[in-house]
Amino acid sequence: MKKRKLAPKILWILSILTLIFLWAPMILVIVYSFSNNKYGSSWEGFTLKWYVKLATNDQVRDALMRSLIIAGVTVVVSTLIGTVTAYGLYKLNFKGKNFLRTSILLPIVFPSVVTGSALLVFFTRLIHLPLGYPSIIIAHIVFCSPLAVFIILGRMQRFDWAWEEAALDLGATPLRTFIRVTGPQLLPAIMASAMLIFPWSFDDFVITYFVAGVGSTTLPIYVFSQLRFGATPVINTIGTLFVTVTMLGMLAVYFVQKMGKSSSSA
Amino acid sequence: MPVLDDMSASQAQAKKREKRKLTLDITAYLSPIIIIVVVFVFAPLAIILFFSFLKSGPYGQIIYTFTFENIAAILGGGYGKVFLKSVYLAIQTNFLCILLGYPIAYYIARFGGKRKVLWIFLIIVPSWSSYLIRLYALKTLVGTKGTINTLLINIGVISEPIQILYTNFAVTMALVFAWLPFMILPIYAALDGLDRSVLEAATDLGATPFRRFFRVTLPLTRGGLLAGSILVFIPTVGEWLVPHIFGGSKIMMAGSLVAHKFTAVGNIPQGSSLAIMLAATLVLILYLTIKWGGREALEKAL
Amino acid sequence: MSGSDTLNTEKQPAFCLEIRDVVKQFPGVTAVDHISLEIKEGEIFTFLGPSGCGKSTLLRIVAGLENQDQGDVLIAGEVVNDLPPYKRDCSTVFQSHALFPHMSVADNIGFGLVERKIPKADIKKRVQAKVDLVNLGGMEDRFPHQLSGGQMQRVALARSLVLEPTVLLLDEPLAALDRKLRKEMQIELKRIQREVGTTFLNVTHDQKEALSLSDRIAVMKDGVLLQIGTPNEIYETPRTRFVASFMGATNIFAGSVIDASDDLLTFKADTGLQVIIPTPADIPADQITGFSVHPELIDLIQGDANPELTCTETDVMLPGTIKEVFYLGDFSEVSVILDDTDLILTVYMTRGWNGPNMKMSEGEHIIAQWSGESMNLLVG
Repeated sequence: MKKRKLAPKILWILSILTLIFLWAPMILVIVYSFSNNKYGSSWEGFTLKWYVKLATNDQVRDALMRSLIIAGVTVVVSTLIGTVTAYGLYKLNFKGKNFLRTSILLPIVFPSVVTGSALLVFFTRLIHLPLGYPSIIIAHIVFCSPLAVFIILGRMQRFDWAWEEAALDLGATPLRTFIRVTGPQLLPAIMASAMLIFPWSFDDFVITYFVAGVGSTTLPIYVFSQLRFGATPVINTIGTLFVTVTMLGMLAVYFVQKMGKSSSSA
Repeated sequence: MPVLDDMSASQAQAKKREKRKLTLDITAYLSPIIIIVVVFVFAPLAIILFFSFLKSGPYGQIIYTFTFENIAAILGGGYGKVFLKSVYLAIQTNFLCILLGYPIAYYIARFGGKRKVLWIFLIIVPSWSSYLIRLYALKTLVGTKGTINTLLINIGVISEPIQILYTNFAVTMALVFAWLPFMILPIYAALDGLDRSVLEAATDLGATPFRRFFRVTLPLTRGGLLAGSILVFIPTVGEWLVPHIFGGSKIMMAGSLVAHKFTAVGNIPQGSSLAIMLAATLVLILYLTIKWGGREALEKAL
Repeated sequence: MSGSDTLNTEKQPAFCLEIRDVVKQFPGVTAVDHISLEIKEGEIFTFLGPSGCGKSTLLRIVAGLENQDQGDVLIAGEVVNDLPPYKRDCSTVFQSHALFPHMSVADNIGFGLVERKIPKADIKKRVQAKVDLVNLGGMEDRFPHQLSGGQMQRVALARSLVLEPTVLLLDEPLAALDRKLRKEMQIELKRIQREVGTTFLNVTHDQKEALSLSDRIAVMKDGVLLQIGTPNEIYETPRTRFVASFMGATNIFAGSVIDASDDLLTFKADTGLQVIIPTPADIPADQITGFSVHPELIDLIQGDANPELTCTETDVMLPGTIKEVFYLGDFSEVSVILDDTDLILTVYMTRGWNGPNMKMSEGEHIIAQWSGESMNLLVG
């Protein structure tokens, strides 16, 4: 009887320690972002001045805008490609389908340095694409659209395709069927993939670093360039905002999924 | 009862029509991804494969002479050791992630109760916050002038800061710190999906909790362990940022070599050959994963 | 090969639905094997067969959800081979109901009308009429996940009927319902069909449902059409061993006719049993391969009653021992081992005149008896 009560307690302690391990550095960053210490690495009284500094920092603002534009375009294009591809992979049976599926996995499983360097050489030495927005966005689509494919494909496997047949049977053309039935039913999955791709693209450093060229500083590249100087208070504020936005994003995804579940639980 | 002869003419025609429709559909739905895969995955890989057999000039230019030098340097020399070390670190990280991740996943699944969602939330948030900033945050904690050292010196436990950065320990810790959530979540999913009555049956049949765990729970969550291992092992093998930030020039991994050659040295042929070797390593791992765990496990994991 | 040629030679009023020599193969199986049949206007026609017999595939070919490899499908006299499902004048009630989860009951029912660009007010009126027809008044604004299985079934039915199709296709419409509800919906389906007069083409694996619901039944197995007939014909005179056993005639005796006179045949079963059968009008004696007897047509005589008294020439009387009795309440299923054979006879005993105290016990010696008319001849 005593043993049974002991086991959960030990597990609880281990779990809490693990959580502390995962969170302690982040919490320090958040705390230091409000600290007066000019190196941002110890507590010297409360201040908001680093946030003011962040807000007035043109470099940060440019980098943020650049990252937002890149992630925005990437999300739209990747989700579109992901939806169409998942539909094709689900519906069609053909020779080489497994090969194609494996090939689509490659950009996800390859180390970023491989994808980044290969694309860099490809862009600069073969097709002479100017480094900057085009190269970054193409690179992001390359590693994000496979993600969308597999997220949406996963949902499609749990989708009742009789809905689609019923719509066709009731007189809706394939296009109308997609607009009225299949599309609305897949929407939660499409939204979820968009919400996962956005941080994926926004946060990417390695691949972007390879193909960005000079002058296309995204937010992660800015952070990386600041890291050379060790701890800085501005990075702390960026980190704090990052965690906050991620939390809000997670909550949004959670509620979208919950909505999707309740509307499809027939 | 009519005997079915070979395909009649109209049947053959029907098959032909179906085939044409299939080709059309494949073009309509799959051409974007095929273009991505062929133009932006296979073609770049082919280019760096080609470049890895070329020489580099003293100023970083490419000399179009065929050579095996780059490949030989990896297979024979010090670079090979770095590759082995990368795989070793990845295996070690994976093992540590299971060791740390299983208890918490088990706790949440069995005893999480109403707070399950909160626990999961607290594990997901760090994994989706900026990777770079998390590594930076960890560095702030363990660095020479980091919080831990400052604290220990201030309370007089030590007089000189402990050198944590640029050691094997730092790299391993950072890898575990970065990838642990990706191990916890699949294990949790597997444990949570476990049929409680199976466990009750095991107890009923006389298994002690300890034996039950090893004979029933663990085998039944193999899928989650496999998925977690895929998610942790594959990215750690090619890691660059962690060895870059926590290993400096002392602890190198394969990813740091590639990045170093491209971004610092500017030796494209050598960088290409290293990237190709890294890609080949990953393809081998991928192949073994599909062979042992099946494609499904891999896709599910992602 | 075009349908119009065939149409011109045929001056009779067109059938509601015609299937002509349709073949469909999937890798490794022939799902539909040269099937031809005609369905008349206003009848309830059922494809009956075990799962995997091709009945659903045939239905899906009619609906246009599957393309046949060969053969023609004609709806109201017109070849529809090349028409996509959304242009065919038929509508399907799916086994899983396939109600659109994001639409209310009214929107589900009105779905097809919207596609036909019917004015809104008109849609509302027509939807309401069908809501009333299927007794769903007051549920118009509910969503599918708020409905019970039977209600979902009714919505699916109304959604198809509102389009006034030439043929309504029902793919195992009752399979997803529990037993009690199934019976209720059978009655409902029949009532609705009589009310609207639409031709119903039903698919089921449940022979009781087929018998009670249908005007005509087509029994299928392995993609082949075995027999078409009214429920009575299919049940009383199944022509093949498979149809006989599928319709519940578990007592099947394979054998051949060894002696034939003008009005009587001597049939010898492979197990040695020999019976006299009245010569049938429609089957040549040399084609007979066996006979079947429904278990409820057999009487068991207890004790030492003298059988000779009531016996005519074609009646069959066989001594045997009761092996097992399954008490099922309204009747008992009794297995009898016939003497000197290892043949097991299944007999359904209702108590009838003998009252509630009639009992059969295992090991008891009895005589199994059935009349000559009870024997149904098989040809395959």
